[in-house]
Amino acid sequence: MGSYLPILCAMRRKKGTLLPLEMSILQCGIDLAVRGAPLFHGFMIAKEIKDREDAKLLTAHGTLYKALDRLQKSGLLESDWEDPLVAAQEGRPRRRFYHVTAAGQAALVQSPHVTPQRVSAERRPGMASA
Amino acid sequence: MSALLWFAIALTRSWTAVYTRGLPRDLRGERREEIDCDLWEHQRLADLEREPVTGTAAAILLRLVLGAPADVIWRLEAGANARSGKGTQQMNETLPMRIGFVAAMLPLALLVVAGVSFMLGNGDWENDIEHWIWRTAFVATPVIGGAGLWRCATQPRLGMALVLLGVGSSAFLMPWMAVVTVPFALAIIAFAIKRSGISLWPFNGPRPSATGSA
Repeated sequence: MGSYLPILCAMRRKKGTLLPLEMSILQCGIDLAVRGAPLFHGFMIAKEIKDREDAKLLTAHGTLYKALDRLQKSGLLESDWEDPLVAAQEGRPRRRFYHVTAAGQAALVQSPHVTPQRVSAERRPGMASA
Repeated sequence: MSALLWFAIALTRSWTAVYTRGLPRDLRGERREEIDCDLWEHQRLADLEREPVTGTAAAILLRLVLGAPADVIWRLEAGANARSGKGTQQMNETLPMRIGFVAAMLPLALLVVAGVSFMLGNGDWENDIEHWIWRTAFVATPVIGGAGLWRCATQPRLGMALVLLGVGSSAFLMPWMAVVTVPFALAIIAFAIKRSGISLWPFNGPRPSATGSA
């Protein structure tokens, strides 16, 4: 698409850099882990991002799951599907649980866009830092 | 469940079904299940927080609409490995595809006609610049969308970019008509996806294996 729309070439990021949404996902995932919930599902992280950034809207479905997919492919997140029996017993759809990997934590700290607050949050006791 | 919430959930699930169609079963099932889970959790939280049903429905619709371009891009990427890319030309020459093309062009043509009549009319506008921006947008966006739909068969990427730009913008020009314009826009985008044959589009079967293709 970039060959037709040059602006998309400019928007293409360098390898290894994180988009703001990806940084938010990693940061919120780490914050959840600090609060004792290392596993999160899509809606949970969308809600966490909304609360954290005081946004009016939850992240759009397509944007959120595309970012989660991208982070997983990069090895910054890992995911596991919930046991279908548990979901069936509770009468709800199966959840896909994600967690931030050590590479994800390192990538967040090393990201050139990372803000000082993010770095300090990253260095909270109990969390690995690069 | 209110009718509006039901509609928002049904539309989101339908859209997910459309853009994941033709993907390998695992990938398709996972994305659909994930969206189902998201919708369920969203509804549950809204119930717990006693959020107004209309607010929840609007939030779901907004999440659908704002995420649709990312869905399409994700679909392009996910389908790239199984892309056949052959027979697009032949496929677009079949009668159902021609009928589909005319049917997709009709609402866009109607928008152009409405836009032209809007241009010729004397609206109650205080600001001339705003007046002309709106008038131009009303005519230009469906024209861009139509041009994209036309080009989809021969220049799939350019076509899809124009369709997303034109049809997407048209849907947003009349937010008070979103219940009508958004489903139309999604249907036209889905048809453009099919027409472009860019990669594994909804009605094409996945290639069994990415390796060893002749």
